[in-house]
Amino acid sequence: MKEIFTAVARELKKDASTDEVTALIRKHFTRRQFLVGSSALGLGVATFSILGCGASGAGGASETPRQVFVANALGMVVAEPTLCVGCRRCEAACVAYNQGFVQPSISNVKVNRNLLFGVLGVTKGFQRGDGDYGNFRVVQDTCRQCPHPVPCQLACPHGAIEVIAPVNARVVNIDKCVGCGICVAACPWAMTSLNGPVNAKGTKSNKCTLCNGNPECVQACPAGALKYMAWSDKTKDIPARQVVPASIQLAVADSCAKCH
Amino acid sequence: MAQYGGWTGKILRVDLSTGAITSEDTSKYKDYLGGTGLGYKVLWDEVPPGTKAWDPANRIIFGVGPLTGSGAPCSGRVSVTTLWPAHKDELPGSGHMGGHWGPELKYAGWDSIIVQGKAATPVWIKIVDDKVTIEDAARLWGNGIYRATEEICTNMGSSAHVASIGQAGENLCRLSCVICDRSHSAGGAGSVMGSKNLKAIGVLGTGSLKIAADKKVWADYNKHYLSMMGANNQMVVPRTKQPWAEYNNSGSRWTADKGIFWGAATPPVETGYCTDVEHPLPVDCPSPLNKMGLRTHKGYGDFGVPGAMHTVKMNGCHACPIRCHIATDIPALEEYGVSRYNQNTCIGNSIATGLMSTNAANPDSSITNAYMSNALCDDFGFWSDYSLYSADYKWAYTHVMTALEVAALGLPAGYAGKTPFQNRLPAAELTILSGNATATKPYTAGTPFAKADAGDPSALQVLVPLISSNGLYPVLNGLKTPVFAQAVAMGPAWLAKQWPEIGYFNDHGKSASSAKMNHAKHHGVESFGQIGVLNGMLWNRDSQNHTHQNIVGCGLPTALINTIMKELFTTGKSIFNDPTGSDITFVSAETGYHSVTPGMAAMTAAAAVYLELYNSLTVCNYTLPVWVSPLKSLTYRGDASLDAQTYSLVTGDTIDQKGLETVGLRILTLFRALTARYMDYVIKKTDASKKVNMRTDHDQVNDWHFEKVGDAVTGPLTGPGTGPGTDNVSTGNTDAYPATDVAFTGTTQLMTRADIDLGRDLLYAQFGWDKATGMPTAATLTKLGLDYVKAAIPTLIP
Ligand code: SF4
Ligand code: SF4
Repeated sequence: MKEIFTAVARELKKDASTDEVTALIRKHFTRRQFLVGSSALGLGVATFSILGCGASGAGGASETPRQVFVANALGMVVAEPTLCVGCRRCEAACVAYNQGFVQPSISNVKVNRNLLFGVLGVTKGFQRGDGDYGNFRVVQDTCRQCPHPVPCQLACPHGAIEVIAPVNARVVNIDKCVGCGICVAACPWAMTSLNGPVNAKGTKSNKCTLCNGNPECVQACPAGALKYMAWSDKTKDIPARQVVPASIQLAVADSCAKCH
Repeated sequence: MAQYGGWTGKILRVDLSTGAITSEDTSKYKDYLGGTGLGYKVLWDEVPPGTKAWDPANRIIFGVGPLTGSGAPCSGRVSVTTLWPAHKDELPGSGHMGGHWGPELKYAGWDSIIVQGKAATPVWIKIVDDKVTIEDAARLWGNGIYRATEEICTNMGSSAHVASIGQAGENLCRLSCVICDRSHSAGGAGSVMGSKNLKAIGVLGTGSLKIAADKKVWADYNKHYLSMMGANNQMVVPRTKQPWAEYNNSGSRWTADKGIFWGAATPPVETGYCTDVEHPLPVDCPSPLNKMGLRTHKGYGDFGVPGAMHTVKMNGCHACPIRCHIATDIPALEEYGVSRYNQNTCIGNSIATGLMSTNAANPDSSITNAYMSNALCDDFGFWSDYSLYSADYKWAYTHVMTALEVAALGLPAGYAGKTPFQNRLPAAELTILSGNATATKPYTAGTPFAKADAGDPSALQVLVPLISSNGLYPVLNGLKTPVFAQAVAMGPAWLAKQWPEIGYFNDHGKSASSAKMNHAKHHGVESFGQIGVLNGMLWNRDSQNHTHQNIVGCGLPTALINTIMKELFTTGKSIFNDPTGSDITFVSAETGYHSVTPGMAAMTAAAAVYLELYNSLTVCNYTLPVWVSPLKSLTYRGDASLDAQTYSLVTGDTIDQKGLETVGLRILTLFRALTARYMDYVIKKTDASKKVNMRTDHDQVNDWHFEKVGDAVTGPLTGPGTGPGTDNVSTGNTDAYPATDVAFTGTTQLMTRADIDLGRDLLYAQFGWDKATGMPTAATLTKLGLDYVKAAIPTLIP
């Protein structure tokens, strides 16, 4: 691990394109090498890991290797609001077909919160805004599968958000997740969610896994309003939904400083 | 209940008189599933005969069931059950709404809400998971549903779902509804909330609902189920001839086609070919299942090209792939100060359009009127009574009474030559409405009647507020028309008690479209002939039954439909069966008239029971059942066991088709007993020595269906040309029953009373109900686990 870390770090002392990063990481971390090196549970990973690097003091630093620099995702779910008919079959499919129960509040595609009054929420004058009480435009929020620096992943003090092959989705490792909810506050688009109270026993974070490249929400959409596409960086185009608390931003910056 | 999926295990009870908020175990109601089944059981157990709809002792039950919120197809419904204000004796009934409110209630952890009592001042109920509070609604009272929803969502957050009444419900208009998610209304129940000072119920649910089945099995099952679904009303063939489809039918709601757009989408969306799963056209989408939501373009279907141009998209309920609500953008409405964006479906789009004409010079007139009506009625919470009220209104507005009619109805001779409105409304009100004290044409420009006749949508901006005020207060700078407002707002059944000519019209005039006892016809004789008529007898409002309607209208050739129905109801697959294998053909121009058969009775019984099943589970009868499919490989067969499969997979309580049908029969039979118990009370009030006979007192059919007016059963009737044995067509009363206006479109046949009597015999036999009284027999009650019914009303059980 140590050698590979050094090799990657040296080679990355330049502005690398995302493709270059992916290629570089692939070069050093073949699936086989990684499995040998980290004993991950059968999951292929394309990442750059560092040992014992807690991103935040908040939850205590993890002593297991954690991913910091990660390859870009290969795919993403892209929503088309014009086509969305607001049925929320995607929300039901996301949770039920992956977890065996229905719970829209933790779905990784989020429609309900924008359904009636749009992304801006209920405001006076709502009849001219988005949503079913307005102009019927319903925006389906999906995970951007952010490029490095991945806000949710870097913010997690437990290194629980990992990048997983085959499509490099940013995925919660529920064995590491303690349900602290920091990622929920860290994602500018509020795309992760807890299935129970903060820090309670059994509470885990949920976020989009891209269903190994065949997302259930996309299959379930009766209007073709969700598409699975090659990844592209949407993080610069889509306005943030929430303000990430300064404490989390500082912790992430601390993590960044380890390499930059 | 923890062992089952689907249910949360808890029922919420709110007593508005005491403020008590309690939680009860759902297991007591499991045998009734939820929805209407649960509602009937609560009424049976808790609301004694003699209770009136607006008494604090009445219950209003917001019933969801084990499938609500499960994500199963079309599982977003809520049944609101209560003593029904629009029924003349306030017998029990229910209204049903879709949207997302019901599923949200489940995610909040509740298997239904029972509301009782009456709050001292206006309140709303706030439900955030297991935190339930009664909140002050002083700020909301007097406002429409849109504003009430906005204020509640400002309090609870934009993810909350709100079911609210408008001014119509507050003012105790019997024609009022509860509406959630902008356009989803539970008709008729609004004034019960109003009587309890309950403005709204807001729900926010973050919890989960267990699916008993393995997740992979559940996922695959959903795809399998969807592959058998058609368009809205389970219409399984496209409207136009398309290269992939064997059949097409010009009446189909599967309207998608090349060149048919959601024209007001930005940018417009072409519906294109939306094929079935056996004919994938990969250019458009990964799978035909990903275009189901575009199949049904009701904007185009209901309003033609102008409708297509104004459609933003098709919308609808939670977890439903079909989408039947037309979301529209009609910029012209802004000229009237009304939102340009409105949505609803079917009658929801024409609640008040019957009060006015269209303007032939404007191709958009029809859709503009519809969405003006929609914008107002969905805000004021005014209910359509499936258009019977507006048919009556139109008749009272335009029909000039004849001397014969006036004499036969025992009305003052001076009523002849004038309309019921002219006869009945005070001069001051006629002046407000028409500009002169006798409402003589021409009406003064700018008055509501003048605008209505000119097709000016602003007529409704006066009429809807006037009616919804119920005459209690002036609207729009001092206009107050109490007699007019109340006559309309009380609905046909109550108005007929005061204005006998209304009852006469409903009973005798086909154009009223009333099935029986001043209830709307929905769906009746036009839908499978006798099957529709017999179904229409069973409830205390329009039957709202689409089980048979969706088969009649599925679009397949008539002979094939009849063959498929014979397979379902004469080969022992269902508990409703005719082992002799009689025909199940429906009366049509093609097949002509023929007498009712035992097979038809079996299908009628199934249609009725599946309606109650769907309203209890809860899933949508506007689209289900899936007894036919679009799949050629199945020779267009559907699968009548799907409902039992869905129930078993979600709950883990494994049941087969016949088992679930037996549960449905239990629910329908309890409803029967409940109705009989209340009706018996009403009958005994006038003559204590009498008791109810459901066959003759309840299961009536209006005269216009028949070749003869009046007979030994219905007795001598009032009205011109009536009396036992009078030929219905040749009475000469061309308003009530013109010779061209007969029961079966496309034929010249009327029904015979003997045939419908035979139909009653056969239907009761399918249910296990007594032939003479139409009541469940003791053996049937025992078989269905309803012995307690017999114990409570022993004298009514044969
Ligand atoms: S959850 Fe949010 S921060 Fe994390 S990858 Fe998705 S969009 Fe980015
Ligand atoms: S399944 Fe499709 S149409 Fe339905 S809410 Fe999700 S994105 Fe919208």
